[in-house]
Amino acid sequence: MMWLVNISLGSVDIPLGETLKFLLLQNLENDTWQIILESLRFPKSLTVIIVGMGLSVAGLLMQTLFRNPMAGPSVLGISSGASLGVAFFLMGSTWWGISVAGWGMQMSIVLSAIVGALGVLGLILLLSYKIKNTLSILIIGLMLSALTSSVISVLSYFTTSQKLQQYIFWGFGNVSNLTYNELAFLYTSVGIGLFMVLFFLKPLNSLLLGENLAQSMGVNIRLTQNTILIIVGVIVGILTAFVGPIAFIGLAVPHIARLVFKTSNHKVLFPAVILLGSIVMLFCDTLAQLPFSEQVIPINAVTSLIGAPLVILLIVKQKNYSI
Amino acid sequence: MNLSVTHIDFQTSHLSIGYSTRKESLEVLSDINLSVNQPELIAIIGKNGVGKSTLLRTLAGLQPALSGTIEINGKLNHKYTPLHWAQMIAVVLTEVPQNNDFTVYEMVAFGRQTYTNWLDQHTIQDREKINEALDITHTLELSQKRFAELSDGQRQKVMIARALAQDTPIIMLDEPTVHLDIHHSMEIFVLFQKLVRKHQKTVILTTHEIGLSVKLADVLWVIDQGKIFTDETQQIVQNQIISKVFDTDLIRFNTETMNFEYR
Repeated sequence: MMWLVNISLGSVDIPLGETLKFLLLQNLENDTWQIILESLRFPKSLTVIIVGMGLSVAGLLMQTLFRNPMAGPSVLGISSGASLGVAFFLMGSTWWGISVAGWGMQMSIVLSAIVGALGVLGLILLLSYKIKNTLSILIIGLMLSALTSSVISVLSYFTTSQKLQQYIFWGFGNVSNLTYNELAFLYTSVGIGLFMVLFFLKPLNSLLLGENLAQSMGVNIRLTQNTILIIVGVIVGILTAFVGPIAFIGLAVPHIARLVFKTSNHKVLFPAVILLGSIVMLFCDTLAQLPFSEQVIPINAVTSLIGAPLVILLIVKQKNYSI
Repeated sequence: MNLSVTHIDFQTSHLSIGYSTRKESLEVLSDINLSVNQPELIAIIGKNGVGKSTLLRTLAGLQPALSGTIEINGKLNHKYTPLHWAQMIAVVLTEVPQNNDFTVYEMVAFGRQTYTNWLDQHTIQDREKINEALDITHTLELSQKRFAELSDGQRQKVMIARALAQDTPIIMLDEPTVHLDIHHSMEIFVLFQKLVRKHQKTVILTTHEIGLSVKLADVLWVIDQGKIFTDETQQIVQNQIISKVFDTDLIRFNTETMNFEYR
C-alpha cells in the first residue's frame, strides 16, 4: 500500500490505478508515465525499502547487543565512521590527487564508507575485549562519533568549496539516482546480512537475559557478539555509502515494533522490524518529495522530523516501557 | 518430574579462584577441594566479601579458575562443549533480567534453549518440561503474565522455574533470597528441599540466611579467612564452626535454638 502511494506521488502525479498496472508489469498508455516510473520512481522506492529494512535491523541488533534502548547505527559511531571514510575520500582527494568519476567514483565511495564503518567497529570490538561493560562501550561510541565529526570539520576547513559541496550533498542523504546494477548489489549484500541474522534469533533472545545467563544456557557469547557486530558494520557501511547517513530510522523503528507487537521476542521482532522499517522509510520518502509540489527536501530531515516525535509519543503513552 | 539424572559426581581439586588481569592476579580462595556425589542441598555461607559468589560463579563456569580443576562425572569442565555443560548446571543469578517484555511462560521456556533447534521450536517434551517447571514452583497461574509486572518473590520463583526447565542435575543459585522477606525466603528454601528430596537435584546456593541454612541445608560450605570448611550441617553446628565464624561482641549463635541472639 505504502509502496503504491510512494511511487504514485511526486512532482508528476500518476494515478494509483496506473501505478498498480505498472507494478503488475503491464505497459502504460502514457509513455511519459512509463518512463518516470521505470527509471525514477521504481528504483528509488526499491532503494528506500532496502535502506529502511537494513538500518532498522541494524538498530534492533545493536539495541539487543548493548542492551540499551539508545543504541543505533548512528550512536555507536558506525555511521560517522562511514561518513569519515567518505569525507577522507571526497575532500582529501585534493592531497592525494586522485580523480575518479562516474561508476568508479561511486564504488570508491562505497569502499571508503565500508572501510570507515568497519574501522570504527573494529576499534569498538577491540575495546570491548578490554571493557566488558556495555554502557562504557556505548559512551566510547558516542565519543568516537564526536571525534569523527570534528575530524570531518577540520577536513572541510581545508578543502575546496566544490569538494565540500559534494560532501555536504552526500551527507544530506539521497535515495534517488541509483541504477539497477547498484540496486542489485545493495539487495544482494544487505540481503545476505539479513539472512545471516536468522541464525542468531535464538541467541539474541537469550542475550536479553544478560550475558551471564545466556552463557549458562550454552550460548557462545563472543561468537554471537562478533558476528552480529560485523553484520551491522557491513550493512550500515554499504547503505551509508550509497544513500548517505540516514538518521533515526535505525533507532526509532525497533521501538515502534516493540510497542506495536508488545514483545521482546526476536522471532517476532525481526520480521516486524523489516516490515515496519520499509513502511516507515517509504512514508518518510513520500513526505520528502513533498506531494503536489515540485520541491524535494532531504530525506534525512524528514526521518528525524517523523521519527523523534513518534518515539516520544509512543513512550509517553505506554508507561512501563522496556526494550 | 521424572528426571533421567542417575548419578552425579562433581569434584574440584586444588581449585584456586579469584580475578586476574595481565599484570596481577587477586586470589580470593585457594586449594579448594569439594566433592558432591548425591542429591544434596548445599549452602555456601560466610561473611560479606569472603568469596561466596566468586566460588559459585567459578563452579558454574561463568568465570575462569586461577588454577586447579573442576570436573563432572570424571570429565574436566573445559572438555565440555558450552551446550553440554549447560545440560549439567543451570544457574540463577542476582541480576534478574530487566527491560524486557517477555511473559512468564516465555521466560521459563528459555531453559529449553539448550535443547531446541536453531529456530527454538518446542517439541511436546519441551512443553511438558516447561509446564512441570511452572507447576513445581507454583507459578503455573502466572504463566501468561508479563515477567516485568511480577513481585520480587514471584520473579525469583520464575527464575528458578527457568533453571528447572533447563533439566540439569545441578542448580546453582547466587543469593536466591536476597530481596525477599522471611515468609518468601522460607518458601524458597522449602522448594529447594523438595527439589533435592523429590526430584533428585543437587542444589548449591550462596546465602546470608544462616538460620534457614542451618535448619534446612544438608551440607554447609563455610568460608572464613581464606579457608573453606565443608561438612554435614549437623557436624558443622556441633563443631561450633558457626559460632567461630559469625559470633561477634554483639551476637552469638545458640546451638540449641539454632538461631542468633543478642548477647
